[in-house]
This record gives sequence, C-alpha cells and structure tokens, in this order.
Amino acid sequence: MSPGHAGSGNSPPESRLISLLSRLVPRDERTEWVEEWCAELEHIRAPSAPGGWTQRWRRYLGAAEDAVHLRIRGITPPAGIHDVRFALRSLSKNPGYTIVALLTLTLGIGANTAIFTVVNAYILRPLPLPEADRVLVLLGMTGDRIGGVSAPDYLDWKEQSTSFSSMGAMHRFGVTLTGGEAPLRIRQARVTPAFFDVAGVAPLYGRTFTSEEATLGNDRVAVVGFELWRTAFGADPEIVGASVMLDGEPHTLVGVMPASFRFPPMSDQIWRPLAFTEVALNRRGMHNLWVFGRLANGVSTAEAASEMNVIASNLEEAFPETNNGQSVRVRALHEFALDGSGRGVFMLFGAAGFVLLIACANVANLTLTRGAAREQEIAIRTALGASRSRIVGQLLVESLVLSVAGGALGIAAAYLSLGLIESNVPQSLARVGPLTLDAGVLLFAAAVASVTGLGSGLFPSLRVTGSSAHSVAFSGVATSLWGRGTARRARSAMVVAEFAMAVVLLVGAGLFLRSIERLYSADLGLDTSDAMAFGLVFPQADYPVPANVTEGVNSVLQQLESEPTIQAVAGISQLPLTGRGLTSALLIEGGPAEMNADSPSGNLRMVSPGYFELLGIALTEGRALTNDDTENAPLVVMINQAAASRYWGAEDPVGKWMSFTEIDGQPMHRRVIGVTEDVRQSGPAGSVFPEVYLPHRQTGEVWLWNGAAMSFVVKPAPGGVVGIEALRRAVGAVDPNLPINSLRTLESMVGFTVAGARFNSTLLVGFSVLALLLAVVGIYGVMSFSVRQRTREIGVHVAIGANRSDIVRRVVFDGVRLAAMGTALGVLGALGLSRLVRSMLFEVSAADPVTYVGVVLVLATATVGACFMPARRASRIDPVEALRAE
Amino acid sequence: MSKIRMTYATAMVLQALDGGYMYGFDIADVTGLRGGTVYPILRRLEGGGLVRSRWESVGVSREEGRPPRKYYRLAPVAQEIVAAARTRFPEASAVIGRLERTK
Repeated sequence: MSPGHAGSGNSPPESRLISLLSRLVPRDERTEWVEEWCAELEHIRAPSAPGGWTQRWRRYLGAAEDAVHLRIRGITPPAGIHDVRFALRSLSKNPGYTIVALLTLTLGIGANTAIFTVVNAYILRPLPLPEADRVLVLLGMTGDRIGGVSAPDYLDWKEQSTSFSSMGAMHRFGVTLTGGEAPLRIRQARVTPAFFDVAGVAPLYGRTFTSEEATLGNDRVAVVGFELWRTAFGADPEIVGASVMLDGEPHTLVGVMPASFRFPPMSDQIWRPLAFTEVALNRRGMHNLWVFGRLANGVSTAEAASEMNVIASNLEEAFPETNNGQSVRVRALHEFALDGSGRGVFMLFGAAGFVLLIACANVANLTLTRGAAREQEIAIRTALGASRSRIVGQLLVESLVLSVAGGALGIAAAYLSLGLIESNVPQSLARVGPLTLDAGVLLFAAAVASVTGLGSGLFPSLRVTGSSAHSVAFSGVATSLWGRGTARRARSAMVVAEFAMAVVLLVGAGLFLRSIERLYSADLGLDTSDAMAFGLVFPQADYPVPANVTEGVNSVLQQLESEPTIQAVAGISQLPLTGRGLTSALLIEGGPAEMNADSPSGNLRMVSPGYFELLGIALTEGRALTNDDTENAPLVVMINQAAASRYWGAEDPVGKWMSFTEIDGQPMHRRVIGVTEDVRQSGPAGSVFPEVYLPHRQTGEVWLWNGAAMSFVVKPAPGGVVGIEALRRAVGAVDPNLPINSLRTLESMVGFTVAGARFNSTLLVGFSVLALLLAVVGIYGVMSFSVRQRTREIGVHVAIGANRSDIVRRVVFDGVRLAAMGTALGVLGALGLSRLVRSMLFEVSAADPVTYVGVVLVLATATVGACFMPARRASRIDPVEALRAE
Repeated sequence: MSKIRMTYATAMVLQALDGGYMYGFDIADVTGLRGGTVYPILRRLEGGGLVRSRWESVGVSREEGRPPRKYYRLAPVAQEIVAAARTRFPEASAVIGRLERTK
C-alpha cells in the first residue's frame, strides 16, 4: 500500500474524511498532511491499538482542528488575533469613547438592517411560488383604467396565445361558511383549474380541481387555504372529502393548500372552480375576471406582452361593439402586488443610508478626537520600528472590532423593531409576505458593519499616522499637530456634512408629516365621526329574487333602528373610502342613443334614504331620497356634482333621465331628483368620479351585479356606543344565518386609505430624529474637544481680562457657524432630493417654506443647546490652572 | 529558533518528545492534549528547527499492514530549550514523568 492512497477506490472511511478535510489545507502542504493523518488514523484502527470509539472520534476531531488551523494560518496575517486582542484592550481602557461609538453604530446599522428587512421581504424576496418571476398578471384595460377580463376574451386569449404554459382565470367574491359556531364571511375566489398550474403549488392534502369540475353542475367542490383550515376546521388532516356548507349549499372539500401558499395581491381563504355560465360565455362586455399566466420556457415577459397586444387588437377589430378601447397590460405578479409601494420603501432605504453616513462621520470624528490623545503612544511605537501600514492596520482593526459589535447590536435592535414596523406596514405590502430576519438580511448587516468599520476607521487612522514620528514624540501635546489647521478642518467638515444630511432627512420627514396632516384634515365630503359600518351578503339560496334582497335589507334597517343604542342607520351597497364601485355605462338624456365605448359611465351605489343625512353629505340641488321612493313610485336617482357636470355640463340636471337597465330590450329611464356634494371614495388622495345613487327599494336586478351585498352604517346615540351584540341581535332577528362582516369605524377606514403615507412618514420621522440626535452628538463632541484643546489659549484670554460671556458667545458662535454651513448645504440638497418624493406628497409643495423654516429652527435650537455646555466649561476655565497644566 | 513561544502546551510536547514519544497521537495521548493542538505545535517546532520529522520505513509499516507513519525527534540543538522549558513549567515535566513511570 502506498502512502498516498487516500483517494483510492475502496478507501476506509477515515481516509475519505481526511481527503475531505484536506481541502482546507493549503495546497503545498496538502499531500504530506493527508499522508500523515491517514497513517495515524489507520494505525489506531489496527486491532492492537488501544482506546475505544470515543477516542477514535476525538482523533478525527483533531484532524479537523489541525486542518482549520492550517487554513486560518494561511489567510490571516500572523498578527491578526494579536491585533484584535490589542484592540479589545485599548477599547476597554476608554469606555466613554467605546460606548458612544457603539451606540452610534448600533443606531446606524440597526436602522439600515431594519429597513433592509422591509426591502428584502417585499421587494427582493421572490413570491413563495416556484419560478415566481414567470408568473404574470394579464390586466384587462379599459382605456387607462384597469377593468376586468370577460370570459369570451379570456378563452380567446388562452386559445390564441403561445407564450404561456398555463393561463387561469379568477372571479373573486366572498362566501358565507355555515356549520360552525357562527356563520363566517370568508374571502373566496372561483378559479379555473389552470390557476393552480399558474401558481405551481401543490396542495398540502388532497388535490386541486379537475377540468370536469369547472363545468356547471359539477362545481360543488372547494380547496381550502391553510389559515382557514387551521381556524375553521381545526387543522384536521382528514378533512379532505368532508362536506362543508358554502352559501347554504353543501360542497366537498377536495384539498388543503400549504401554509406558504400566497398569491398576492389576492388573499383568498377558499377556492372553488369557476364554471362559466351561458350568460358569461356570451357577454364579451362583462369584464369581471382576473387572468394570470405562467410563461412558457424560453419566453420573456416582453415577448408575451407583445403577443398579447396583437391578440387584444385582433379582438378589438373582430368585436368592435364590445372591445373598442379594450387592451391588455402584462405585468409580473410580484410587481403588480407591490402596487407602487416599492418607491416608498426605496426612499426609506435611502433615508436609512443617510443615517448610516451620519453615524460613520460621528464615529470617525470620535476616533480622530481619540487619536489626539494617543498620538504619543503612536509616535513611540513608530519610533520603535512599527511601520505606518502596521499601525494603520492596527487602528483599522479597532474600528472593525467596534463595527462588528455595533453590527451585532444593530441586528438585535432591528429584530426588536420588526414588530413595530410590521404593525405599520400598509396592506399592499403585508400581503406579499411576512417580515423575517433571514440569511440575506444578516449578510447585509454584516456587509454594512464592515463597510462602516472601514469607512469610519480608514480616514482617521491615516490622519493620525500621517505626521512624522519625531515632531510628535518630542513636541508634547500642547503644540501637537492637533492644533494645526488640517485636522480641525477635517473634523469641522464632517460636522458640516452631518448637519447637511440631517437637514435633508428632517425636511423629508417634515414634508411627509405635513402631508399626513393634510390627508387627515382633507375634506372627504362626508363626516366620518362616530360612525361604524359592517357588511351583510344575502345568499341566493335564501334570497332567490331581488325583491327578497330588498325585503331583507329593509328588515335589517328596521331592526337596527329599534336598537336603543343606535341613533341613526343607513344602508349603502359600496361603502365610501373603499374605492369600490359598480361602474356602469349609462344612457343619458341628450347623449348617444346607444351604449358604446364613448358612453358616459358612473359608479352605481344603492342607498337607503337616510344615508346622506347620516354621513353629512350635503345636498346642493333638488331633493333627497325619501321613504316614499319605493318599488311602486317613479324611478329616481341622485347624482354627485362630478356626474352633473360630466353628463350635462352647465345645464340643470334635476329632472333629466338616465338609464343603465333594460326591460324587454327597452331602457328604463330614471329621473335625477337631486345633486349631492362629491365624496372622495378612495380616501383623501383619491380622485372624484361621477356617482349615481339609486334608492335601495328600486334596485331590482342591480342587486345581482353586486352579489346581493349591502353595507350598513350606524351612528350611536349621543354618549353611547354600539356593541357588536346589539348588531348581532338585530341581524339575527332577521336571519340567524347572516354573518356580520368587516365591522369597523369609518375613521379606521380613513386611516386605511392613508396607511402607505403613514408608514413612510412614521419611519422617516424616526430616521430623522436619529439623524438629528447623531448630528447634535457630533457637534457637541467637536465643540467640547476644541474647548479642551484651547484651554491654554482661553486661559490667557481670561488672564488678560476677557469677559466670560464673551467666551461663551465665541464658542457658541464657532459651533453655530459650522451648523449654519451644514444647514445651508442641507437645504440645497433637500430642495434637490425632495423632488424625488413629490409624487408621494399630498397638497404639500416639495419646497414647502413652513417645513424648511421649521427644520432650520429645530436645528438652530439643538445646535445652541449642544454648544452651550462646552461654552460654559470654557468660561469657567481658571487661567492659573490652565497655564500651570502645561 | 528563539521565535518559539514557550507555552504550557509547547512545554508538554517538548517533554513528551524528550521522553521518547515519536508519533503525534502518542504525544497527544501522553500529554492529554488534543490532536488539533499537538500537530500545530509540532509543525511550529519543526519550523523553528527544534524538531525533525521522518517517515517510518515502508518495511516496518508493511509488516503491520498499514501505511508508514511520520515520526518526530528532538533536534540536538533543542536540549537547551527543553531544559529551559522544564525549569519554566516544572509541572509539565512532572506530568510527563509520572506517565513515563506508569507506562
């Protein structure tokens, strides 16, 4: 047997282990290392060898340690460990410096790690779908607005396109689950079987849908999401095959999706097969589907998009009466799910970067200051033969040790802040996935920490070692280079830069705060105070015809009115502030005789007569709806001002007719009886659309368009509150199987519409406070250092009779001068950078003077405060002591 | 040669070599040090010229049916250092001495 047998075919286990470990050993030593260890290990395998199994394992461990030892020796300079030890010793000798620097680094690195967690979770991390970047959403566009896709269009897309390996359609509406303790309203999507192919996720239990189940009559099956399976079905793995009641009808559960399955922006809890009805298959103008596709192999998103554009324009040509103005927009699902929130996240990332730069400048300043105290030590070491690079390296190791510790603390700080961040995340982001500190985040924090260590350590260490050994060692502290201009200028420059960056952040935060304030105080066109809202859906099984729905709504309204805690109640089919509406094309008096692509459109809302009064929506013309506008009365509508001016311009709209329904092919005319103020239906920053309000008792078949859903708004009696029990009692008296859904206050709905802006401004304010704090610490540090350095000079001044208040003034003036330069630069920077966030602001100019003046005032106060303490110390200098100290 | 840092572990290894132990594992056994400690020390001593290593002759190993082992010996110049180590860490030589006697 040759010595070098380690790699041979039937090698014993230890030689395989050794050859594995040998990869760690530097190449030139590898062969010999392998031979030695193999021989040793085989020796103890011999029957004669002493020791048992544990001893043998200790030997293997020894080989591993030895290999690691050789590897480490190969990469780190021999003195590396020594430098770290030295750094730790020298840092612990100077706890003041260490603590302030650590705290600064923790804040800087922590802020960046926290915001990177957000970037990572929502923007960088792919959706939890296999090859998620190949999953696209195919949006049906009506002009510039996202509409839906009709069933015939979807089927033509699917048939004519070749870019997709699968294409599925979805129609979403809620469903009521009964059979548990209380009826439950859940989010449901009806999907074609191909939807699960697009998602590419297999069920945890059971199966998804067969194509046969997507036909009428065979579609009484459902796949349940993990969360609902856990909460409503007790996570029972045997649930597959069981029957559940959905909207009052039995359905067989055929599958359970895994916990990781998410398909943002959708957040459905249960899926049922989508079987197209005869009506749907014949209505190319009924745009109610979402369509998703998974790219076929080798096809790019751009190629798929251009193919879809051709298909859509062919359909436009073939069916001009329905498809005129209809197009398709192809977008990656991930990008679509973010819904524009990505820009805000990147802005915050930039802001956190500024905080880090300020932190770096601060630590560098501290290090420079500390270097002054160490210059003799360094000079002596130089004189004893240490090279400059050796000393620079040593000082850098100190910075790195600090930043590694700061990084660890920063990660901890970021981890602690995750809960706070997550509770503020707007829903558009939260749907994408959970916030977690994963390997990517840790890697990022480690990279930030090391860059910070280099950034804050390199410049000071080059400076400190830049002077010749002689001049320092033999000159004494008083006349050292630290009194010279360049070093002081360097420190001053850093303070100026810190202030400039702090100003940019403070201005950003100020603009967002002002914008939030405007959002909350904006005139929505309605009074949300005290009002609460909830929804009901009247299932078709129990309410088969529209008249039943009207009856149900009436009964619920009456029951609610009879509750003593409720002062007023009203119904509306689509709540304000949700952005939802039933958009319909309209025939109007004086308009085109037939509906076409150019027909005016409006959002239809069914309301009970008390709605406008309850929410304080003012009537501007005509009369309001009353209880006399019943099924048997003439058909009427109310419209908002936007509708009045859109449809009839300056003409008086009252008395004019419009139509959106037909009876026997004849349009049903409804007369406008009144005009209301505009309501911002998607929140303060949303736009105003034409609205058409019809009395709920004249709704008829429009209930079917709406899925027989009605929301109720209640206002409590003065000084009282409305409990959910009261609502349950009232609704239960009408129908015990009707679940109350989405109970909330209207105030919270306003909050919801501004959640994105609030998230951005909360974090931005946090960052800017950090920045201000760090900048103030920075200027304080520099001023007190400069006072200490000038003790003798000040002493002389005092000795020859300078006034103490003069000295205070001079020191403060020095500080204020630096701060003023920084602020001026910062204001310029902010004017430039705030343009980038202009589109995220609401009714606030990016150059808003109030914000800028406010920021300058805050900074001025903070600066004077920070300089005052060192100044007072300076004024108390005893000239005798100061001179004797030399 | 003066670059060798005289630690307790190094003293133990020197004493073991002086006591006639030649193989890495034997030294680990007699000193109670781990292999991961003994080998780097041996290499350092070899680098400093205090220790020489040889491969055992193939004949010996073939007889025992195993690959040849590497063995270590103190260089003549090392005697001075070993003596110095003994004075500096008397407890180290005591441990080795005792083990020698019990063997």
